[in-house]
Amino acid sequence: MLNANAILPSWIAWLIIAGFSCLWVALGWWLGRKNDTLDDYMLAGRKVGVGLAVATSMATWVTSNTTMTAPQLAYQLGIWGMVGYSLGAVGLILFAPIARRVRNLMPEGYTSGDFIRLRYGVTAWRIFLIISLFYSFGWLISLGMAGGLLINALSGISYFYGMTVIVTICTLYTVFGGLKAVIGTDFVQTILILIGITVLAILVIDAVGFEEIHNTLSEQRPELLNLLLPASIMFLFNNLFFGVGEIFHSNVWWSRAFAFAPGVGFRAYVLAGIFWLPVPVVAGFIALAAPALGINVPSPDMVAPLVAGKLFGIFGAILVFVVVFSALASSLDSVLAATSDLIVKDIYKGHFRKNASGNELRKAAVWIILGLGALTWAFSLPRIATLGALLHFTGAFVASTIWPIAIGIFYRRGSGRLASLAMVLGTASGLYAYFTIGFYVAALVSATVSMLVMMLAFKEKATFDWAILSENRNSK
Amino acid sequence: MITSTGLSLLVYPALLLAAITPVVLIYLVWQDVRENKLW
Repeated sequence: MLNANAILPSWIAWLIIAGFSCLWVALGWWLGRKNDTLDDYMLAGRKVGVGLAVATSMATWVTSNTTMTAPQLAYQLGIWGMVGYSLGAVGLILFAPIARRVRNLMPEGYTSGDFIRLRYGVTAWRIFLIISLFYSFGWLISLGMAGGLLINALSGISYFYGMTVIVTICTLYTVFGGLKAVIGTDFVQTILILIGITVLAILVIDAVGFEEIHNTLSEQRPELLNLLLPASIMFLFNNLFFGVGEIFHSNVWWSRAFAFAPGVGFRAYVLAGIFWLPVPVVAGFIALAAPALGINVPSPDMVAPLVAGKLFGIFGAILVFVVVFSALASSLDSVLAATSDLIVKDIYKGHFRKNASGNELRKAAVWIILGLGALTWAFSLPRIATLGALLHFTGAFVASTIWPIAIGIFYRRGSGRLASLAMVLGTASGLYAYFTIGFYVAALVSATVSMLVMMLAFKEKATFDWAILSENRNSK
Repeated sequence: MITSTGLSLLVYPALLLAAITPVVLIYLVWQDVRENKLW
């Protein structure tokens, strides 16, 4: 199972894993030691300041995909690949006004499910929960599998050990410290990721230079420099809608909107979007140096580590390993915590234990995080490629939620029946497009159909009473 | 077709922004700690 092409000796990789694992778990325990209430555990006390708020939003959106797929896309789709990927930042920026509004309208809200239930009623809530949990599960498995595959590819450590370690560590510190542990470790991970990719890019420019990179590309891979590549432009727009759909519906981002102190959400999401924007461009640029270095790339997703290893030997390999390990952990912990919140509040309390106390819910949250960690591990274990691609498949589902959320939060028009119809028809048409045209239009079609349905809301009377959203405090 | 200058005009600003972000983040957190608004 050892990988002959690994760029890092496995004993060094184990040392890095052990060091960071101890750091994350200790930090998680230390940050969580003063957690008293359910709000402390699930929402970090609802008073997160702007510094940590920006860092956690950014780090969560910098996944293993950003650091590995952006270079792959640059290598396969060229300039539009990495620019298209960086448009993922638009989702963060567009979520800023939503974050501000939900914090004001629902001062005691917990999850995105809370909003859908209070705004659109039980049927839309259940459709939304199916979409959201399916997406969360797809994201968890894709991260678990990416952990095993990347650690194996970089260091030769077996898939089983790599995947087991990353899932176990993230589950442990999330259980110990709740959202505070997630946000605290996110801050450190953001700094590590940014320093890592910046140093690598500067070293690439210093060692190879723009002229040489450009000359080799125009000789060997001129299509990568083409700005009128139709498939890439289609990818760009689809990626934009997929990203907006992911952020608008996922409790990962809603739980942060509830956790940030009043007045922080808008600034935090705008800044996080701006700071996230250059990450795929810088990571993608590293890959464009591959042809100039004469590197033989056996699989495109390994292009960034190969460049780092070829140019800077063991130092480059360590840098890439730290960046990837941090990117994986900063997303996996967030998805674990936010999915557990959704299950605790919307499934456990919402459907089975309606009168559960805060103390009972806090205990339930611990077991649910442990259960989600175990489930992620079990589904990542068989290494089924189609499961790894599950996240891709969810584009059709999540894009259907964009317009019901956007209209539902800013307008008093739009009924639960209409929102349910928009999500069902959007998802169905997105899936049809996925299978008949291709993955790169699924989110686009889904969002368009869902939008057309939601436009009917403007023919309805404005009847919704905003006060209903804050009534959550009475039913807590 | 993007030129060599075009490529550098895309990458350099991105690199500059990525490089100053850790400094800005540490500054923002330090401000929050000073004003007792970290969390």
